[in-house]
Amino acid sequence: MKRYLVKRLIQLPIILAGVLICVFLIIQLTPGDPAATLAGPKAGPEEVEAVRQQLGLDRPVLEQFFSYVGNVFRGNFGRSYTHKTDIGSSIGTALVNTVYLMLFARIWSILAAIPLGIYAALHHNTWVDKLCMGTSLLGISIPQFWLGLILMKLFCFDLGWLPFSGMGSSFWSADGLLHVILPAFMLGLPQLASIARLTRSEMLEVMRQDYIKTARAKGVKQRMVVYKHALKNAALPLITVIGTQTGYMLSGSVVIENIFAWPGLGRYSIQAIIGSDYPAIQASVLLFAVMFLVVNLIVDLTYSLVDPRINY
Amino acid sequence: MNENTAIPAEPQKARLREDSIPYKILHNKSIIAGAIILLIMLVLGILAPVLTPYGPAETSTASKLMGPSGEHLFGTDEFGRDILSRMLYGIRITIPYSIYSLILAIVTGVPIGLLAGYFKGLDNPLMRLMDILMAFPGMLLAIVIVATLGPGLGNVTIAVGLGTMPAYARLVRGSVLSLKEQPFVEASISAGAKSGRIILSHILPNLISTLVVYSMLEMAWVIMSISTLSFLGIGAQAPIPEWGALVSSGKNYILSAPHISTFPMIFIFATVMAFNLLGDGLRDVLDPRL
Repeated sequence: MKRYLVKRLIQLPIILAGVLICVFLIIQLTPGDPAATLAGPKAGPEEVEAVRQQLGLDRPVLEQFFSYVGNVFRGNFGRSYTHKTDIGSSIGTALVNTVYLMLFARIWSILAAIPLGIYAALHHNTWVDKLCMGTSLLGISIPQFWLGLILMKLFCFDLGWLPFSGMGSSFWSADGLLHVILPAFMLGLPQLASIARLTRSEMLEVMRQDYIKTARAKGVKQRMVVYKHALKNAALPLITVIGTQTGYMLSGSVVIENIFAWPGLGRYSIQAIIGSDYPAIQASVLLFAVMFLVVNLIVDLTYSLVDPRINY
Repeated sequence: MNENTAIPAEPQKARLREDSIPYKILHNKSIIAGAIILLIMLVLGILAPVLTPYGPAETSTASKLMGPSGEHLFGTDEFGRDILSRMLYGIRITIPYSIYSLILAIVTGVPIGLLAGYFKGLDNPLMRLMDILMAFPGMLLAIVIVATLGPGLGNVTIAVGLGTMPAYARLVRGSVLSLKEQPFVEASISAGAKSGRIILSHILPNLISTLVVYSMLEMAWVIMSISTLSFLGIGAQAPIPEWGALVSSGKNYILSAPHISTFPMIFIFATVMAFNLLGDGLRDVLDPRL
């Protein structure tokens, strides 16, 4: 376990360095001249040159890279081309908003998916089971972005139950919670399908094992058999999938945030791309990658905590 | 005189054995359903100019934001363009561009996987590179590549293709590793065959069925990604009638005219579902292990 932990902790900075190089290269590889873009179409060659010097784009590439990395570690992501403001502070808020949204989506989808999967497994091959599993093909084929729009029309306009879009005044007020319902529901929906499917197949597998028969023979009650004996043993693959799915939730958040005007990292990054705001693009890509790496690390570590048999 | 014209023999009814692959394919409900949907889409796409009297970019100020009617089966959008026409011409955008994207993923990912799986020395460097790319979920990687190249349908096609590449590399590498241990590969190694020949004529042919199954499922993903990115405004730009862009253009009228977004969605849904059905069915027939 310790050796594995050390190995992972050594690997992490290597992957991070790779990501940093990729992120840095965005501005180098991009077609067109960022200095000319920033100076605007009316700027003369001297003005473009002045902007270039100001951005440090006239210095050697390697020097630029190291000063970029140094700045990143000091939390300095540069100034946004479009908003002319410091990226660090605005992207920090965006990051918190995204994590908040993902947290809600994560919690409700797990709380709904696991009982659903268990129910389907215990009622194997009945119509409930088939309905649960059949809808998941439907679920992956319906474009999320359209479903989001239609639910918004239904709940916010036709029924008027929920506020339209954006974020409430504060996280934990009633207003804030009302705002998060629909985006969190949409973000969790694809997760519900995959986690429920896996819970079902894992439970079906585990319920066939001998120790379940033994428990039953001893006269253990059905509830205990299911929740204590079976679910505990089905938990390991579930944790892996919940972990990787949380990573995929990051790409889901880009779509959902843009539909519901949620001021998070996903919306920030798409606006940066549309506005050719390179420092903002770099910062959001970097944060996405770091979040993904952190999620994966947590999954790996929980893995060995949950199952003492695993010894890396 | 008629000596040479043999009487044609009673044509033997070609019967497929029940355990043969063509038989299984023809009797698999998923495959048949998927194939029929795709066939309909292709015919609609090819016959688009014949089927509809309106051009995809034909505007009409007199008939803006109209609901479905006899004249405009699926209604019109904010510029009075016929939605059905735009959807039909959209088939000519989505299907080819998704195929380009998939081809890009295959021609880059498969060789990387073959090299990494076959040559031990290349395994580590190549797969670590793929790990870095896989540090982003596919869609996010595509967004990063679009961020570098700039928005546009062509760039999104490249981005989604490159975003799919690491998955192909990983799949092929894994299969090569297990094929390499097979007796027929070991036999040709000991017979002195060159590496290139072993890879191309012994290993690659054994990967085809896995690749076909996988590509169907990936195609569903590619179509969904291209339309999602177009919906977000960083893919196909107006007035290209790409389906995701069509849904997006109806976004501002979702309250008063939800049909503008809804009808194009049906085509995305049907096509993605068709490829998922084909992939699932083919997997059952060709590659039960996957």
